Amino acid sequence: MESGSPQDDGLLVDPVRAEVIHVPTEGESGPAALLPESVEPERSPSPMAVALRHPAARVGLVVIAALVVFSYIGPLIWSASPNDTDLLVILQPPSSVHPFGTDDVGRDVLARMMVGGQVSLNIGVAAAALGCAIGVVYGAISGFAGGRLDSVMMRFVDGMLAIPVLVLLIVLAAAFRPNQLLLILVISLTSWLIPARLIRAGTLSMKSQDFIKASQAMGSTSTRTLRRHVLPNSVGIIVVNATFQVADAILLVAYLSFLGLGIPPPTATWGGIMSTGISYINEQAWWLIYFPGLAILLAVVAFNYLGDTVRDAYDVTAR
Amino acid sequence: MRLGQACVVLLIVSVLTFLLVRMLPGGPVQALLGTHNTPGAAAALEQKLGLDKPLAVQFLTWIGSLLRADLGFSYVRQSSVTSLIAASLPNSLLLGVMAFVMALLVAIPLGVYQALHPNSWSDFAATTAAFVLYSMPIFFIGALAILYLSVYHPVFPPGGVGPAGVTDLSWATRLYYAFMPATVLALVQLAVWSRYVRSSMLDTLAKDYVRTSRAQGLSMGQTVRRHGLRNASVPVIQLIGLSLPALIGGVVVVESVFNYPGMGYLLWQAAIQYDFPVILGVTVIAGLAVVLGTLLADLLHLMVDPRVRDGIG
Repeated sequence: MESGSPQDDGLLVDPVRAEVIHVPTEGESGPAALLPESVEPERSPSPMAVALRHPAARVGLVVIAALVVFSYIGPLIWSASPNDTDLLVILQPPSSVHPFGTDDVGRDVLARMMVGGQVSLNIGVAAAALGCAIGVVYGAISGFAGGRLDSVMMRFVDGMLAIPVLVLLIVLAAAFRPNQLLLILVISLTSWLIPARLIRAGTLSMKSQDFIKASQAMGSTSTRTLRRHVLPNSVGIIVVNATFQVADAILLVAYLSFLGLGIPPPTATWGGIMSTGISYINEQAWWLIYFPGLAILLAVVAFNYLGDTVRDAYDVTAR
Repeated sequence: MRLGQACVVLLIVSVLTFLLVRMLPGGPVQALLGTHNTPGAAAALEQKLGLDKPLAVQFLTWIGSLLRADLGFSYVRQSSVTSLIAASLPNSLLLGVMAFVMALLVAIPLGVYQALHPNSWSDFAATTAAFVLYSMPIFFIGALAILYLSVYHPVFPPGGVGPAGVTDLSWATRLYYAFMPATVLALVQLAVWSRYVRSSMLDTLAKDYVRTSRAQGLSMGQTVRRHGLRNASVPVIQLIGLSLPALIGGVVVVESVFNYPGMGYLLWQAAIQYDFPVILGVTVIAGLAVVLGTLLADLLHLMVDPRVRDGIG
């Protein structure tokens, strides 16, 4: 029986599952021969663990954690209401009463920043997750099916990619006037394209490898092969891309709410606060520009940075 | 072959946007009438806009007029979509081309310099700056630019294409007004492109022919000029072709920040006012621009890379 070590590429071992697929030899047949032989593989620590131990990745994680605490726990501590207007204190610069100042109708910007953070993170993470899920299924089917179906499915992705994302989102937002849930759907409709391409490419290159051929030769159905081998082996690509998608989604939410096409008022959004800041830029309301601007920048940098560090950990050539 | 693919892409774009707009809950009629919505008024408006016909008929009518360069009539403004686009397209082109040229002029030397001094202090600084810029929301850069260069220190105008009321603008005025929005747009592209030029040039410099050329006594500068630039430009050209959709998205945001009356501003206003013929028209033009840009990038690729031209490799 031939069995490679888990490091051997192209042998009958699924590098992620590390289970040796037992190939029946002459004279050996029957169900017993089809059972995978359980072995104790030598496993190096998963790249994800390596990546997260890296200090650079920790920086990203710490910033994300800080944003989560600010947005979700912050409102429990800072009791000012995000939507109460007070026309006596409009456009006040930061003070001890309003640490982030007030907006054009006297609302507390700190409280609004917290709610805006919830909106950004909710939508960013949910849209990225949904987009990746759609992309994974689509890409895996396309790559696995091959032939004409594959080329039709990929031409469709090309076509979608040729539409500028923001233009598409503006059209969708104009059509649906979204709430939070609808905004997640709308953004995920644009964020599945890149994951779909990546997963398709991964599936294609994996399809020709022996461990997939072996599992198919043993009568594994396509669905099973996809679930047991192709998807687990693509976890790296998926996770890395998902982090980038979160960063993109947070930016897109900000752009849409900046343009007045995101979640309708009075719900606070980072983009919306920035939009007020630009309307009152002649009054030099810098706090309506710096706080939302820096918050968006911090969130996007953190997710992009996390994605970068994890990708480097997965990418053998970069290590 | 590429042309056929481009046509397919355009068809998908137009079908998608058309369907999206027509699938609205309530539809454009509801949106336009708002509180004045009575069944009688709705039916009358529907008939006037031709929305009572079957979807397929509406689509064919729309495609038919599209081929005659007739994009319909705005629901909100007393103007045809074609004339609205004709008025704003030149402004966007100026902005886009300016940003494009500025980004390239900085990204290429910067990326090459970084590749020649990898892991140096300046390389690290440039990489970090590019990373932050890339993650920066465009409207934040725009707002900071207006705050510091128009409000605190009035160096540049905060928006528009020219002084209010003036219709025939000189090139100098146009460039002056477009400078700040174009720079903001260029900064974001620059961040992506310089990173890419750097890695592409690094790959090229690691090739054997570069070592050979150095061994023959050419200086590093000569080697880069003779072999590096041309070889490294192939992936960069492809990337630039691919980044057109992002550039167009950036145009939309920048034009809204600076109230710059181009295609993006037109799209934004139309989206807020449910002006669907305008939305459709702008989207189709944007799709066309992307397709043309991709074809142009392919053509350039063909010119630069003899392997592709002669069908080898």
